[in-house]
Amino acid sequence: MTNSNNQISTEEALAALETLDSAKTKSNKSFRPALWLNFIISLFTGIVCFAAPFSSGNSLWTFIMLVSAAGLLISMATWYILLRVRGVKQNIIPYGLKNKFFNLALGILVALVILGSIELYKAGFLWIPYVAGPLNAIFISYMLYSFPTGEWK
Amino acid sequence: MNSSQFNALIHAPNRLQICALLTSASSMEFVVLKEQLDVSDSVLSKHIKSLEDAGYVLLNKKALNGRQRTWLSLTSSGHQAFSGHVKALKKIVG
Repeated sequence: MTNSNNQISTEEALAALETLDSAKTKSNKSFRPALWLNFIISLFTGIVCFAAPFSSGNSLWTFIMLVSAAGLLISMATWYILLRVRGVKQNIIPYGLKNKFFNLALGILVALVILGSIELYKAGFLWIPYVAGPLNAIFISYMLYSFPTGEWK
Repeated sequence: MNSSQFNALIHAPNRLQICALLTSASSMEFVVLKEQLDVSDSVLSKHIKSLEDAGYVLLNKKALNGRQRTWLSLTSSGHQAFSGHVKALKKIVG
């Protein structure tokens, strides 16, 4: 069953890798959230990032941030449920160390943008939330479209 | 454990695709795999059986609204064998 000797040619190996690529493309397409859902998830992420710097000492912005965070969780759960109904159960934590690091790095990057925008806003850069919010929203939208399985290519 | 090792069982195109699709998900329904691979029930069953016998795939049958749903997932040894095989293929290509 397992063969440690390489008994196939380079061309055959290349063809097999192309088959794998095509399978990965198929799985990416079937995992990808619908555009409306991608928009909602990105929008909530953007609002959380935008509202975070304003929320310090302001109960209205704190409320907006919390509602958006809840909306973000609900929309992510909706994506999970829709996929499950279609017959696919997502990996909450992707398999493999490389993929785990990839997802951890994404999480840290998004968190850094939020924390950075809070700190810079406090330091007097009042325009920061207007950049950080859309930046995080666009970034999340791109990641949901290109890496819906959470796997590094 | 994850070292590169060519695996003749996984190397068959359909089985390679089955493993590739199952690595992306925690589990997948038989019908979804069938649609993705564009093969008949019997062909897919045959490939799944080989992978199951090797201990690479786990079958979980559940009944929902009177309909039998078969969920498939890759076992830990299946994940290792698949990633080892992919590494071996990349090694051959260079």
